[in-house]
Amino acid sequence: MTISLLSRMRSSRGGWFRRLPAYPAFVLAITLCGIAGAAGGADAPEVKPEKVRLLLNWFPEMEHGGFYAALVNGYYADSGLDVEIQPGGVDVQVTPRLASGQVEFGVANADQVVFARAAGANVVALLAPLQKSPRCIMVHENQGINGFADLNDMTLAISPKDAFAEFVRRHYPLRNVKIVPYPGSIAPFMNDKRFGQQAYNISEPFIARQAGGDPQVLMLADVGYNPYTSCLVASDKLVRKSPDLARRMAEASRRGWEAYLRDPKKTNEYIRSLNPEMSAEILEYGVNEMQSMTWIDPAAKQGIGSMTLERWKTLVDTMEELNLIPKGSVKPEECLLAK
Amino acid sequence: MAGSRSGMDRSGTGITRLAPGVARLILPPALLFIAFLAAWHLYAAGIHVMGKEILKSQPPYLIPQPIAVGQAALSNLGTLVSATLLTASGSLAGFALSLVLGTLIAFLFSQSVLIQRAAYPYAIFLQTVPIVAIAPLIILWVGHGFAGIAVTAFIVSLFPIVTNGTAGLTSLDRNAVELFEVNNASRWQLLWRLRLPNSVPHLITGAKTASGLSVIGGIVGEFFAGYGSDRFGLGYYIFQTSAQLKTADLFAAIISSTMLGWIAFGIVSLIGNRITARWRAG
Amino acid sequence: MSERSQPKHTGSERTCLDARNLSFTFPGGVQALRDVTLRVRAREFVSIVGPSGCGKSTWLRLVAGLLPGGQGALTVDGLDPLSARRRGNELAFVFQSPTLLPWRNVEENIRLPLELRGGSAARDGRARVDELLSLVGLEDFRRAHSHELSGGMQMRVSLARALVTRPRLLLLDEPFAALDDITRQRLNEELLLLWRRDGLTALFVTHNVGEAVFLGERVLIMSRRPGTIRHEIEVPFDHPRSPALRGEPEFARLTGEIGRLLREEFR
Repeated sequence: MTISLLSRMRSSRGGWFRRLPAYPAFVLAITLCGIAGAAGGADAPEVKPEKVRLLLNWFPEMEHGGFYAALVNGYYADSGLDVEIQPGGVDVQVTPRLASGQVEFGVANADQVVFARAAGANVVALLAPLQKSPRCIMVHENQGINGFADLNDMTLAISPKDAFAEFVRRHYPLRNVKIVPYPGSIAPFMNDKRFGQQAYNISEPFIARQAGGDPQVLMLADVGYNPYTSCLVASDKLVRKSPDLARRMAEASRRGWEAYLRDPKKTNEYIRSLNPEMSAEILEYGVNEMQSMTWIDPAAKQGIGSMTLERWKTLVDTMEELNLIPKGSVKPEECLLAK
Repeated sequence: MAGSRSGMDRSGTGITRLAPGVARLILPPALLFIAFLAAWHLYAAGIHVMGKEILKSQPPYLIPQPIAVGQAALSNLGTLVSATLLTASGSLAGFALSLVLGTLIAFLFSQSVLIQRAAYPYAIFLQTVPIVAIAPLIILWVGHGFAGIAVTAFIVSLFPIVTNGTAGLTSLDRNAVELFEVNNASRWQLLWRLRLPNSVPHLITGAKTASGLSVIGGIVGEFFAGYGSDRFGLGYYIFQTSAQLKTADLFAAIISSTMLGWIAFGIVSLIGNRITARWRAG
Repeated sequence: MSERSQPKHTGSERTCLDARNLSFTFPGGVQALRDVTLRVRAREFVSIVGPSGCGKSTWLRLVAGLLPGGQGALTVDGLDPLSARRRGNELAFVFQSPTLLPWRNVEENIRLPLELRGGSAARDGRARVDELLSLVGLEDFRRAHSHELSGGMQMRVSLARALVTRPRLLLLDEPFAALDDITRQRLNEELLLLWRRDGLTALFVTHNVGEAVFLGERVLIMSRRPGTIRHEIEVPFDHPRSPALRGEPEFARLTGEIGRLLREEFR
């Protein structure tokens, strides 16, 4: 299994059935409005769809599934958007390119949004599909590790990029722990019982189990570090200049996520064509795991991807506490687009 | 003609009479640096004249202003210094390894054309293979931490020593070899009294190149082989500040690594020049 | 003009170098020497001139034992050249370029052959080194390095180095070709002094006819490749020879004659 699988993969379990009754009505209403609108303008000139680019924060994987679903199912087209989804990669930085106008939309985790704003790259989150962060530390079973406080006398592979690394460092003793860079494969994990690495609970554990390992995950979300993940992000400037465009993009993406979680098959095939390293099983596993991470409050009530100011405040406070950003450099209310 | 080394510079006035060498050495790059700083500032800050924008300013997370970088350097001075020292130690270890092993390999190459032909492609391979590809092997072999970084620095800096060393050991003045032959010199005498001293300037040239490369190797090594818990080197710091969009800090770190490279090169040059001072022309 | 009058050399009757029908072909197939027959007495000074590529340098290297092979007979003091050389540093070679080792100073360069002999030779030879330094007039430069010396001075060091082991046979391959006229003349005179003082046999290859005549007791004119000895001219002037000799009519006549013979080999 290769690098692309190592990043984040989401999976949740069960529960998309709940949404079904409301959905058809919603769609019907929109369609009627659309027809009415189209019928209303007698000689309405044919409007060319707006070309926009969506830059992913990694290679195409299931954490981007909803966006691909919106593309594959034509929801973007329905909203008058000609969306080009650009895959990310190892060295692709989404937020600076958003802020400088090289792309119109991007996918980024909430901590990246905060880092960006602190650095003057003003971007704002429009949609947060993953309400529970899949970020975890994957360790071996039967090593006496029952929680983060037990991470001692071992090797930990954590990338310095993300905020959670500092979170773990600051809150737990990590006695006699050697911190090494994030590896390019699960080989080091498989070869060493006292090895732990950062992971997304929706992917690496599955791969490790397939390879005959005995992985166990410690979720960061369970200990108080829970940033929104795979958010749809745009620059302040774009939202200010074209609020309607932002809204349409967010709505179509939301529809895409709902469709993806309900029936990912066609979209997964498309993702596999872009990223052949993803097997059908991995994608399926990921989508399953993601169910329970997307359909939770307030999303359960307000629709996939809804955000609360509270969560952003907690994140900004945490990052200030960890000295990752200067105090007062980021205003939580500016991080999200309130509906 | 003998003993006519260049003495004091009798031209010039004032300060240049007192320190001709220093002035000649420092002034030109210093002036260029100042010009560069000015250009950088103008580009980053933009040019506004009476409310009109002549040159657009750059966002700070892409191109920070020189002043911001200076401030970042000052406020992170402790971190930068300790990171630089850590990187320096790993690079130095790798450099020392490549000096010793490189000279040995060059010696082997010079003794047997067969060995040279057989092994040279692998030396070239080491030079050109991207570290990304062999990093997992390095980690498997020596593990993370200091050893991994030193090995990476070693691999990156080995090649110039081998090539220059081999050239120095084999490119002999034909007459000099005949001189030794006519005096019935043994193979060992030929090696010790002719080949080795002859190769010293070549090795020094190789060492100069290798010194800069070993710094690069140390930093790149840190991306893959990392460091222990609390201490980290420039590579780690560059990676982190880059990913967290702390661009002014990143630039300060890059400048630190550049200076480390200069210092490494400077020290090797100084030592090299002292060694060959006697037999260099002028 | 190749009849032999009574040679006016200062040496003995003992044969130092004996070549009979010596031919030599390089491994690549180029024949450098053809049927060279020559006898050189001990303490003789023999000059060799010839067109470029005629094998003069090859000849010297064969005598020095630096080139293996060759048909015909070639002995130095009764032995094959390699054995003769190995026996006891019978031989010294002065190259076209000074070939000083730049990391050694003048004194250390001169000392090199003694060091290569091993044992205590270098220590015991200190006096000899000093002697030669003063003979070539470089006592004040004993600690200088080659880049601080002029071409002429470097060549003097090369000479001193060649003589430090008191060789019996001195081979010189156009040593002064790169020097200006006056320096060359002066070095010619110094060489003759050293030659007479140490009583050595000298084979001197040169392009310069005047030099060949000034130095040698005999001048050998070689043919074009493959080289053979075309003419042998006796030089009737007594040693020691003064610089004024160069201005004498007999000198000019002889030089002219040899020049004419040499010119024929160039066609």
